[in-house]
Amino acid sequence: MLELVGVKSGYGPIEALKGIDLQVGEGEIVALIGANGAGKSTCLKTIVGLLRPTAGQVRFCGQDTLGLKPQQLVAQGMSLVPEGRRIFGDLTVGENLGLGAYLTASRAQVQLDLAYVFDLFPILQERQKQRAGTLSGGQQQMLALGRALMGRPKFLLLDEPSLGLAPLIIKEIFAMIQRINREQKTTILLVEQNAHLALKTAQRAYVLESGVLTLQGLAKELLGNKEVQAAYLGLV
Amino acid sequence: MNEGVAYFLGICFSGLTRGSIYALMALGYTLVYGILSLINFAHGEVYMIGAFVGLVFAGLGTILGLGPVANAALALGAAIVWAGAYGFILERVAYRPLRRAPRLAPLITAIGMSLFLREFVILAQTSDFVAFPPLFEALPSLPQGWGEFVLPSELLILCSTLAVLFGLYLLVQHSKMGLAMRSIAQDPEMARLLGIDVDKIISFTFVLGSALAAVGAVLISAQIGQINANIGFIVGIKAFTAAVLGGVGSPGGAALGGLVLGLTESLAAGYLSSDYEDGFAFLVLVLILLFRPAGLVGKNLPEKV
Ligand SMILES: Nc1ncnc2c1ncn2[C@@H]1O[C@H](COP(=O)(O)OP(=O)(O)OP(=O)(O)O)[C@@H](O)[C@H]1O
Ligand SMILES: [Mg+2]
Repeated sequence: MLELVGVKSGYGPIEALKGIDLQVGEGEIVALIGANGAGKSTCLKTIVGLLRPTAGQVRFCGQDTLGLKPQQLVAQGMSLVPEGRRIFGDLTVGENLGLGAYLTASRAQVQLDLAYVFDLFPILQERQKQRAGTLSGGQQQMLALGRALMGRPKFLLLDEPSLGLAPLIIKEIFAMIQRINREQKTTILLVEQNAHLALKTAQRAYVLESGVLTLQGLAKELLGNKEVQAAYLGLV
Repeated sequence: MNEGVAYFLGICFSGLTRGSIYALMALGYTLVYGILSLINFAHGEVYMIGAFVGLVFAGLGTILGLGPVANAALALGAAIVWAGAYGFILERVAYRPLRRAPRLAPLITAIGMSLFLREFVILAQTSDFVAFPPLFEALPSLPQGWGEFVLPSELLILCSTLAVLFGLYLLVQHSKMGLAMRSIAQDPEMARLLGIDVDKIISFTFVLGSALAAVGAVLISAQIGQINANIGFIVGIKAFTAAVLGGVGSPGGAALGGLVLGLTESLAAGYLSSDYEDGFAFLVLVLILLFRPAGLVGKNLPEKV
């Protein structure tokens, strides 16, 4: 589904990714873990076309994405739930979800997708008319996920969905992420600082350190890996 | 009817008529500001060009022997299309290349475009006043008694404006395009991540604002009966005042601000002296900035920079 080959990217003179090779296969959940400032968000922004790689190649469904704009990649089935959720606080919950379906032409399809999102997160149905900015943090994360699902993505990119949420809510949201992957066959690239959670959720994982991938493998194996335990799981 | 009451009502109607034009213009400023945080200083010139296009086509219609309704429709339609095209080109040429530039840069190109358009019309036409063909002659007269305080043309302008405002409300609040516009106003990057073609929506907003300016320009020019290349300047500043008055970025506020400003001017001119008319407009602006910097309907949010 997705392949990165020697990708370098960054912000002007700052090179945040220093040559990344990464693959995500169809139907997988792949985790990308790393410390603050490792370049995780930069990696996602580069994949969705917000940043242009300075070297290397990003291939989506076998096609080089160079020069494609975010809205074109969305049309091809990518969807990013960015760090910090970025819901439209002045719009209602219903309007936020409607924007997620911006590219869906058929009204009947929109109704089906809406029903699915409400099934995953019933609270969103109750709060449809409420201003999104007044939702709690957990509800906002559900809305951000729901909004992304309204576009029926093949490939979902999640940037720290657990950020700032209570453990119970995190559990609920991650259960839904796995359910989406199972039911919709949605491929997921999951960025997390909470390495334990990410490795429990994903099948495979990569570890990013200062713009370089230092480790990769099956999530289960990385959970048992001494280096990972020391650096990211708080175990010695 | 009591003479004093009729005088007061007359002043109110002429104020609302003038305020209608400010409202239509203020919406152009506010819609663009809402999306780009940019003051389109060339907006007044788009208005002026709308008036000239209306003049040319109304004259053409007269020569072709069109009836009054068909002629007004032709003038209005041509002005809308032409001004819309100017708005579109203006954004492409003067603003889009500078979208990532420091905020002062688009301000300077805006002033440059404004001067350019005015000089262009002066060269192509004339700097003198030219007569605008009367479009409202065929209006039916009003019922007995109304004639003491309101003209048929004033009522027409007021009603047309209210209809346009209602249409705009539906567009912004209840259409997919309006939803996209509001999302871009809040977070353009996120809007792009949902597949919205932000550039297209920005173009649409400029075209829409310019079309509203053209409607106002043709209506008021037909009412006043003459135009020149400088009419955009003063109306532009007044309408900008109205937008600030309502809370820049808020469409409802712009409409309200326009009507309130028109009324204020008219009352000042009617009861004090017409010399103070413009002074009052700016007095209102200063007072608002002092006491309600976020405008009449604006929330007192920290400034969006
Ligand atoms: N807009 C920007 N302009 C300049 N530098 C940036 C920008 N965004 C991020 N950086 C830099 O790029 C590097 C990688 O940042 P990035 O946001 O990708 O990290 P991250 O792994 O997502 O961190 P976190 O877990 O804190 O979200 C950091 O050194 C950061 O300072
Ligand atoms: Mg990040």
